Amino acid sequence: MNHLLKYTLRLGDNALILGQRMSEWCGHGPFLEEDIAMANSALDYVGRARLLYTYAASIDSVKGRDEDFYAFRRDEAEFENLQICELPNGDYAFTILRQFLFDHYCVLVYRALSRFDKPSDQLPGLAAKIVKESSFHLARSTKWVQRLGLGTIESNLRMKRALEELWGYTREFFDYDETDRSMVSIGACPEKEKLRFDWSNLVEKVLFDVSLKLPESKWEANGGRQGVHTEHMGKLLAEMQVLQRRYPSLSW
Amino acid sequence: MNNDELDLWEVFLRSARGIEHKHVGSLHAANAEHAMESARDVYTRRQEGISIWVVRSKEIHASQSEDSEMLFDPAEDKIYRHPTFYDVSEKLKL
Amino acid sequence: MVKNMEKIGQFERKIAEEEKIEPKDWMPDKYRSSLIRQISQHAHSEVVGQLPEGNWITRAPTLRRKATLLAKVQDEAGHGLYLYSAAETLNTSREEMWDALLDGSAKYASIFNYPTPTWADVGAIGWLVDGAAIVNQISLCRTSFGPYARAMERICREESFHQRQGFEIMQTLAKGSEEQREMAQDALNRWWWPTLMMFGPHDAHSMHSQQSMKWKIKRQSNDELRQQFIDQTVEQADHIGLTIPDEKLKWNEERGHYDFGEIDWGEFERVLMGHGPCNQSRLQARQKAHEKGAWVREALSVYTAKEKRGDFKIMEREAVNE
Repeated sequence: MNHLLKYTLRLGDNALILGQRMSEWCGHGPFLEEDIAMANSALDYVGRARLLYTYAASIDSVKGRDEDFYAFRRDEAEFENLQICELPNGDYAFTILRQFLFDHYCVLVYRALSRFDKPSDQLPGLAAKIVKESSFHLARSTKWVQRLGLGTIESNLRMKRALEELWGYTREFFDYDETDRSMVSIGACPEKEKLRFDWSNLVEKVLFDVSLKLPESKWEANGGRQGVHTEHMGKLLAEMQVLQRRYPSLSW
Repeated sequence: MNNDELDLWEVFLRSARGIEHKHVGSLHAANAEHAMESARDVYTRRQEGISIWVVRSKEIHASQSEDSEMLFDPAEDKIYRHPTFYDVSEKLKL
Repeated sequence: MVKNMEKIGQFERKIAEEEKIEPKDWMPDKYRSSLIRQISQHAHSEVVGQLPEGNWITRAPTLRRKATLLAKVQDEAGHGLYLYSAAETLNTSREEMWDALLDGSAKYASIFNYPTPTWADVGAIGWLVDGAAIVNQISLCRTSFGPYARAMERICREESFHQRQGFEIMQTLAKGSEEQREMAQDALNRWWWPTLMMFGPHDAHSMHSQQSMKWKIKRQSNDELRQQFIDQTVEQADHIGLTIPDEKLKWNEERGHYDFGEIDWGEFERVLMGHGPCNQSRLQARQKAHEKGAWVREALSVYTAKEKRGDFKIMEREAVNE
């Protein structure tokens, strides 16, 4: 599989798997306005997965694939999303903090992709659209991190706990392999150290301002990019793919 | 009222450039920034707006309906404020 | 007393002349309380109505279906919100209405107490339940209370895609494999009668109807709306080759309407009284979301209060001094 296809599918997998988690909140949010807002972001993520998968299908050497093939007919090991996307939602602190950590990653990654120096390709245009929505998501999740971080003793405690759980998973953002390096070489992906620097700068400042200390644990997640997943992934896929698995090759 | 009850806000949208803001509904929010953020998600899901105003409902002062005769009826007999009051030839571009 | 009679006279004149009643207008207490009851029930129905279809968001069979279902269920939250806001203009609060929902004292549409075991149920709800809701809601766009009428207009506009979304699912299943067709027919069999019950009891037995019609809160009777829904749906079912589960269903040339069998009012009463298959789980889901959200709402309020007091500026200064 060529690097561009692999890279696109990974981005699509991130979007789909996290979008799937976010959509679980629909109808169960902490209040009506927030229920609607979270569903809006989830829709952006699902829409993003569709755009990326459709683009992937157009460059896949195996013809006849489409967005639903990638979403519903691949096995766990073929999904190369980052593990942070597949973790169960936990409480609202966990959900919001994950969004914040991931939204910022998205802004940086898609911004680079939108400047991809290959004008005939559709991908930069898709990425530019995604940067817009990610910037909104980031503004929203940043504000919520402040609200929950500085709100009550309980909300602060929950944020601390969420940060402990999530931090090790963010290390995977910087776990580059050959595909990432190849995208870096054509200017479509931030260099690893640059990404780490830009991401850490903002994230650490926001967390510091809401009195959240970075965890000391040195544990780092890895393997998502190679199709290695947490125990949660199998269940997520079993649920998501149930109809397509139970009744293969039908129209819905 | 619980301490977690949020204030009611009124939302106004401008649907296109050159058109005035129009009241579209309300929502609950903690402050103006939060109201703005929620208004975007609640009231512009179908590209209904390109600009949002929010105002706390209790900041709106409304005329009372029992005063409406006193307030609005006196305008009824001022028909000379309308162009059709004046008798001029239709042919002229007046 | 004379003053009061005069007010009632004015109010009734407005109703007679099809003028809308607005929140600041004088209105009889009974009119106000009927509206609060009806609008809040309607709002509760929207937010409880998120649950049966929400059950399938994570399992939708294609990405297109996932996105449209998510958008639809999200719209229902929006519609609940518009309606709660309309009710709030009558001097009640969302909190009060919400409490009444959660403690079980307020009603919502019983239809949402039925389960959605298969994907076809998502289609059936969109096609039938939303179809019935639209018939009712179009009629309510002419309701006498301004904020309610405006909320209804907005909702009708937004819901136009909901029913088509559901019908398209049914159509696809009906044209699909034998199993899919059976799935669709089975869903139609289960949802048909409960959908007819959505319009409420026969006019002769409807507790609130007469007064509501007089005040033009309701514009058409339960039986009229039900008949309208049946007449338009029969043809749609024929079109996709599904059979409506009513042996007595037959075109009546003389009436210009379909005749249909009798609804099982015993079942209607049972579900209304809380003994439907999902009454408990629906209410529990709403209670759980509310309880789990309490600390979030509190943190938001406390944060905003601190921000207003300027607490965070002080913190920033301290940070600089360090």
